[in-house]
Amino acid sequence: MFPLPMHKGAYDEAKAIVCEKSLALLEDAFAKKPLPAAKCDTKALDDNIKLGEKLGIRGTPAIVLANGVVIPGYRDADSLIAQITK
Amino acid sequence: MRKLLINFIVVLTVVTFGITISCAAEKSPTKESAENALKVLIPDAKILDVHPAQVEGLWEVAIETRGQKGVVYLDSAQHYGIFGSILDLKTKTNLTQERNSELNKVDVSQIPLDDALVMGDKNAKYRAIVFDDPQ
Repeated sequence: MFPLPMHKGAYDEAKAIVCEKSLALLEDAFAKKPLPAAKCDTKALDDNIKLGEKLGIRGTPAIVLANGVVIPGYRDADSLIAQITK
Repeated sequence: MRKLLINFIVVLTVVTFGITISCAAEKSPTKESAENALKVLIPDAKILDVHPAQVEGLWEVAIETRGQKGVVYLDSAQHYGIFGSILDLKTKTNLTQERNSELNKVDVSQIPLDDALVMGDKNAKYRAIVFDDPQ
């Protein structure tokens, strides 16, 4: 999870999701449903934010392929599959 | 005869001079000269590399500005700059975009995945890492 500072509340939501490692919570967040408070304390998000700065990742989604290529922004499934399997 | 000889020397000098001028114009840009040429527009750009572009007569200049890498193009005289994409019309590929993504590649091993959520088949042959925000 890579909460952007400009998204209010994203950090706490991301924390709740990472604590539970729950795809269901992630889906809830995408569906704009309220999320329960985080049930753990983790520095994973702060580490990710630092890593993002280091790697030059500024927006989301940012998709990193196995060969290191960074695709900034959303891609539809077909074009993403084409790029991954290239 | 002497006058003729002098004339000949003059002509020769002009020819030599002419060649010198045209050679100077064709001189290849260096990192330093490219930096000088580009600093009026992008003063904070760091020049990473300069080499001939796929288009004859153009030079590809790889730059880094505010952590982002990319390429721009200069003519040999460094009078003109091109900020845009070169497309290969035969293969329908955007050569500039390919260079840009090559330059901005990251070291995947630096990304810790212990706290990552796995979507789809966790033993899949092809994988991608997504940095995403819950909102």
